[in-house]
Amino acid sequence: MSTTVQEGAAAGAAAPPVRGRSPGRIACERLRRDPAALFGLAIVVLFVLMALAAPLLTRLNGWEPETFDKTAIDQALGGVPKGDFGGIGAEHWLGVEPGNGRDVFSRIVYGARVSLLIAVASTAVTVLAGTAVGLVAGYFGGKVDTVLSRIMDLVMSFPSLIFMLALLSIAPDANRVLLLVLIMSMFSWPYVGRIVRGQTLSVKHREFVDAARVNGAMGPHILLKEILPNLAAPILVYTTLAIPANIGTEAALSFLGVGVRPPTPSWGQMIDNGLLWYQVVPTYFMIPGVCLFLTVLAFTLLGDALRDALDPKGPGR
Amino acid sequence: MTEQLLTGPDTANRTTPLLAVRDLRMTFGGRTGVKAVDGVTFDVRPGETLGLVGESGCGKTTTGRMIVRLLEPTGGTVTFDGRDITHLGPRALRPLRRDIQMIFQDPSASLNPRQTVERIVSGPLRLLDRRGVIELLERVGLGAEHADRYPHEFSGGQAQRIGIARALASRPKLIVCDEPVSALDVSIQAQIVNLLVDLQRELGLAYLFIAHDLSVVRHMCARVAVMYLGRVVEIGSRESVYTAPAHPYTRALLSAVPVPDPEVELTRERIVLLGDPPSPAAPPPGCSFHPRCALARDICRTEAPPLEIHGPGERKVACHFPG
Repeated sequence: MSTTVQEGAAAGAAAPPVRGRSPGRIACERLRRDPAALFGLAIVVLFVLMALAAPLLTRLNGWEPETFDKTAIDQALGGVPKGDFGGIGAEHWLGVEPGNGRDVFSRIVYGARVSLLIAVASTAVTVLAGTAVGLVAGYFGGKVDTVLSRIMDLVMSFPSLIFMLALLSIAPDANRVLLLVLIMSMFSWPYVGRIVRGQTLSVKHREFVDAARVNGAMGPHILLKEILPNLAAPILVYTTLAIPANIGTEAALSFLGVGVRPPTPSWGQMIDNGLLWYQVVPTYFMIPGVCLFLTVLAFTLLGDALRDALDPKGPGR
Repeated sequence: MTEQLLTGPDTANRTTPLLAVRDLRMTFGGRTGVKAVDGVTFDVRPGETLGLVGESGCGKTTTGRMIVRLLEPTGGTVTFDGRDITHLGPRALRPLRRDIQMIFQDPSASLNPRQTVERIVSGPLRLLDRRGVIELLERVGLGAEHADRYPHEFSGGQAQRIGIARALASRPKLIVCDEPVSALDVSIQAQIVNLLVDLQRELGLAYLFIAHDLSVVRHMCARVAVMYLGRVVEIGSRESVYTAPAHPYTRALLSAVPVPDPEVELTRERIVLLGDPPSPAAPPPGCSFHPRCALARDICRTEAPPLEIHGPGERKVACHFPG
């Protein structure tokens, strides 16, 4: 009974006015106390800033991502970078690409742009489409639900990687980034759709929805104002966990040669190139690998922490 | 049976009923489905409280939900203030929503966890400004300091007060209370029941009070209807139903209420019902109570008894051998 509220009207007469804490505020306060979440957040912020400031950073080191530096590689040895660790030094902070001498730091920085942009954009499309379909299917039920759910099952039953590979190889080469975003979302929206549908089914039978209806609320209001805010937690968690998965998918597609086209850099593509040289220049393979690993790890840590923080039954209320 | 009820003396009341329910039916899952409510008839007059009691699954909540039109009845009529609202669409219902409100069983589930108390009470149509909300909160025993809080910060009793404030926001004439105190501690039940009684006196509200707790109903309701398996088996004034129950099911229900006197409690006669209520998907032929009734004879197994006047007042019983 030490809490701020007590039964009846007597509460708060002497106590200072207490403003209610919204469920979102509580989650933020919990996140702030979670070291894993803070670590993840720090790395995510670091990479996002790096991607945003890419032109500034390349001006700092003086190398554009697509400029060849013939002086940094040994032509006689088939293009092996001069110096130890793939040519790491004051001129090229993370060394150069074997074979053509492009600056690895600049390519990593610009590669972060491509990787994060594709991952975030495809996650956004996925979440928006999945939420819309899931809400409609769950709320209206009946035939609408049957049709939409079967479509979701159908899309999910595709072996997505094979289909993405096939579609990307035959697709026109116009806007590779947009193409990747669309094709990656095409196969992942049903996963969000299913989660949202299930949550909608459970939320729509809660009594507060009936209460809104008794008070004259109609379909759109109930969907958007009563049900959707209560789905925020699962959608947010899915989003933060889908971003690293999409970073991985983009890297995989680029690694397999159907992602972004050179000379546009991407981490997956760099790993692919690095494999050719890994016995001679292991750093060229490891640097994009470590970046990929750190980003995926950071987003995953953040997503897990978010899930715990948003759990209404969690500790630290 | 329907005609008998329609022409019965209940329609010739001194005051016209605020709510008139006639032969209301709800069948879930098609024609061969579950008959959750199977021909219910009663009136609620302005400013009075009608108690609707029965065990779980007897259709009392479904009846309440049909009256507030969360469900569309599959048969019968609901007339409110002289207007047939049985099959009105959501848009046509909107103006009537102000007059008929509902208080829900689970106070915390009935408040949207993502909205502040102020938003909950003013409702989706924003009926009230902040001052109006605070006025209502004070009326139900809360205060201005609660307006900006979220539902998870309240106890069950306080949450139910918020639910009551929300129901009052549109100045209704009738409130369907669906087991409003069943989920609360006994000490808090009394506070909420007394609040409801006070509000009724001040605002002239009519309640349809759905409950399974007979002592709460006795305290609140001038008239009581007892439901069994989708039908009203006995309806009448509190005095007639509680002191001289005529239906064997009512007698069994009342005998299950403990008497707060150990000597009486030890010696009094108890009627113990055997078995479970039959499934409403496959109700027994004849009187639906006959498989559990000690008085059942051949006629009970073949013929359903109509709800007929028995004894003083307006008490009606659906039994071939009313006591």
